[in-house]
Amino acid sequence: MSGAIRILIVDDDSSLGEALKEGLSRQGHEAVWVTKPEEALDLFHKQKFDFLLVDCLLPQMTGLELIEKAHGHSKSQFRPILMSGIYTDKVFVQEAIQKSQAIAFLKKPFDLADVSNLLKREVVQKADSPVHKHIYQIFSKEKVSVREKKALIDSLEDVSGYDLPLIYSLLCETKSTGYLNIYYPDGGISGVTFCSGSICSVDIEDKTTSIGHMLIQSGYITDEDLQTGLNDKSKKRLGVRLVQGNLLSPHAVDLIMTEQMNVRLSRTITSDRLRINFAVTENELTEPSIDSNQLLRYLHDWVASKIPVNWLKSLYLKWLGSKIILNSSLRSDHPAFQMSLLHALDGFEERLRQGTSLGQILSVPGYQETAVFKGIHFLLLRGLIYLSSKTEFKDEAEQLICLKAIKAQVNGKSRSDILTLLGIWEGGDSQINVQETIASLGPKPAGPQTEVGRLWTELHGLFEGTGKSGESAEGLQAGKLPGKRVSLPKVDPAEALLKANQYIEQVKKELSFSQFDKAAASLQMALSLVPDLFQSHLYHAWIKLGSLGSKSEKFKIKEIELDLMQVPPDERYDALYPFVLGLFLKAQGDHVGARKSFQKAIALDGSFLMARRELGTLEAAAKPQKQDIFTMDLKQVVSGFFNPKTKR
Amino acid sequence: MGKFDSMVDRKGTEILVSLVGVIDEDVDFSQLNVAGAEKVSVDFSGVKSINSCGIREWMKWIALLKTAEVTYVKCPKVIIDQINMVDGFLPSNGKVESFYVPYYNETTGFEKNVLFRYGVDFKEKAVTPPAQVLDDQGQPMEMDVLEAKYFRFINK
Repeated sequence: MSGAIRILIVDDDSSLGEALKEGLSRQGHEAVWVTKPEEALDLFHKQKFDFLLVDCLLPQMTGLELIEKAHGHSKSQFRPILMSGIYTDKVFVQEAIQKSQAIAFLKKPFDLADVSNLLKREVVQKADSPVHKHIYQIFSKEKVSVREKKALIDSLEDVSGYDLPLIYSLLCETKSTGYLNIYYPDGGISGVTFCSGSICSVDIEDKTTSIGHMLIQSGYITDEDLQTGLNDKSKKRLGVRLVQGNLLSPHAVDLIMTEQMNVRLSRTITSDRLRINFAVTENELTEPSIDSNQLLRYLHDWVASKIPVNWLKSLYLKWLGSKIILNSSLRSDHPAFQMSLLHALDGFEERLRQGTSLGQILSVPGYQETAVFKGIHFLLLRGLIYLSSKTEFKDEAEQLICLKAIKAQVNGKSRSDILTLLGIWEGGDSQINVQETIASLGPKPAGPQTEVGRLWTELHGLFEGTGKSGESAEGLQAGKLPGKRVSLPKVDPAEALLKANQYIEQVKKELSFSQFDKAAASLQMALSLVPDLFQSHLYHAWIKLGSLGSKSEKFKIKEIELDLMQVPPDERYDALYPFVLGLFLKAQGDHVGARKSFQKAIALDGSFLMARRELGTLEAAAKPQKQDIFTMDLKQVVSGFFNPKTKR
Repeated sequence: MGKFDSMVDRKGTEILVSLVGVIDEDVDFSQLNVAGAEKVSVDFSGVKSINSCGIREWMKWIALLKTAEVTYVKCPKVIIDQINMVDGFLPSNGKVESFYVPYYNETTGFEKNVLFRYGVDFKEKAVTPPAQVLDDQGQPMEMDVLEAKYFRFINK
């Protein structure tokens, strides 16, 4: 978020109010402090505020009453924060938060750091909301010239880490040569070198990637080969030592170096707010590099594994009624259609060719929402499809399908969640976002009492009310849409991670005893503390694979396949990934593939007992069974009596 | 000459460091001896590009010049971009003495970098661009940068 945050502090305790105002102003925010609720309401008439920091007990009215009145008076969407030194019991706090939709409740006394951390967190969350960012306007253009793409890159500065796949794609498409420098809020810097549209090198601060593990995982060497290479005490790089020892092909080194770039690039794709700068330079093409064809595969990988589906839902909300149009040059044999995300959606290409909207695609039975959003995003990133800029419905039946898809995105969400989804916490752009979302509902249906008419009216009122923070928004609070968001200040991230890791140890233990339900519960606990926990998709997949019945249901297998697709590149190079992949292949009946995967898992971690157990089971099953009278069928038994004994 | 070169010109306690070429992972700034300098001017006019590794190397080196008065002269766009983006790229006690602003003419396609000097074309929180910049054919040129973005360091 550029510019200072505007905060209104309402507290009759002058020592606290003054200290807050001064402290927050010193941090570069625009803080205003008043002691009386009337003064606050008067200011809400005249000015916009991002946050209202309000004491629960004020003269003339309570803090909750002030929030309620201020919503009606305010020129903008503000986020309330409650504070109190008196009303601090748990029930009151929870009720107050629920009623006021406050983002937090601060119990007095608190530190200034508590407030600044809270503001920072909320501002980052808001900035993460991708709605209405001009960078994605190119998704509704049939053709975007190289010049337009270059101008777009030049104009970018503040972006989200989730925007980087599009930026990488644009730099490749425009055959750019130069350095893309990425600046992180903590002062860290990463860089990607482009040469004629190919990515030649990736520089990130955390460069740790284990080439040895990557080589074993990819099947280029065995663990014995790796040991031999490591025992060679020369100062040469491991790859060179392995090649010189005839343990590895030079071609394989290039492939692994490319994969290493993929891992590093994937690490740049995070929820962080970043600043970027692309400087045109005269770089020489070095090998290995990632060219446009390879980038297609990596884009697929990043969209599948790094971009959260909620982020995509927010991005595409206003486009749910838009038609998906295939680029005229897109042929059926385009490699994009062979990528797992699209392959997982049966008949996807045909549906696109027949002309359909995003909302309709989401309503296809058997299509998983995650796969649809990610599949569409992947195709858009490469410019293989575009979205019509206007909502077009063939008839009301089609409109109904799309309205239901939109309803599904907002159903059960609190007012603040919907505001986040629409990206309209603030005034200004909020009205544009609201209008675009309302436009996506299509024209008002002729019959207001029909299903489509009722749904249209409901959604129209909902979005319009949310944008204005008027009566409808209050209606939301009153429970038009169930669900609440209770956002108490978060626990210390380090402490949360520690606890989450303890739960993961529990998950592992329970999985080793095949206690899949318990493991699922423990995993849930871990994820409630750290939502993007390392290798969580793998544990999910393992639990689901363990819970499969003897007959593997096709739908569940697809679900697990999607889980595996969502494992980011840098979470694949230890023993867990090949092990879970082995379980997946086994469930699909591919015992040869499963054995190879278990062998890789053991090569990466010799003490992985479950991998050894699975491998043992498969190998035992593969051995020809010694036939005896108890395992033969009746025909064999009878014929055995009359056959002459073979001489030994 | 490799892809990077540097020169140090010492006059008593005043030092002029001239950098030329590409600032990347291969650059070793520790070779630049500025010990005992009270005033260090860095001439960036020869710098073609700087990548993330180069920025890190520069930050490490410039942090060593705690007591010296630092001045950047003839900064090309690649350097101004870093000053705008990276806190500490220009030390807090440092100053930009002059920098280049790209201009172009859409009709003729002519491009040129115009040097803005402190006290003439800019000062603290104010930029006064030349009234007219002409290309070789005498045609007026336009500034080829987003002003709010490019001049941000002046308004800090």
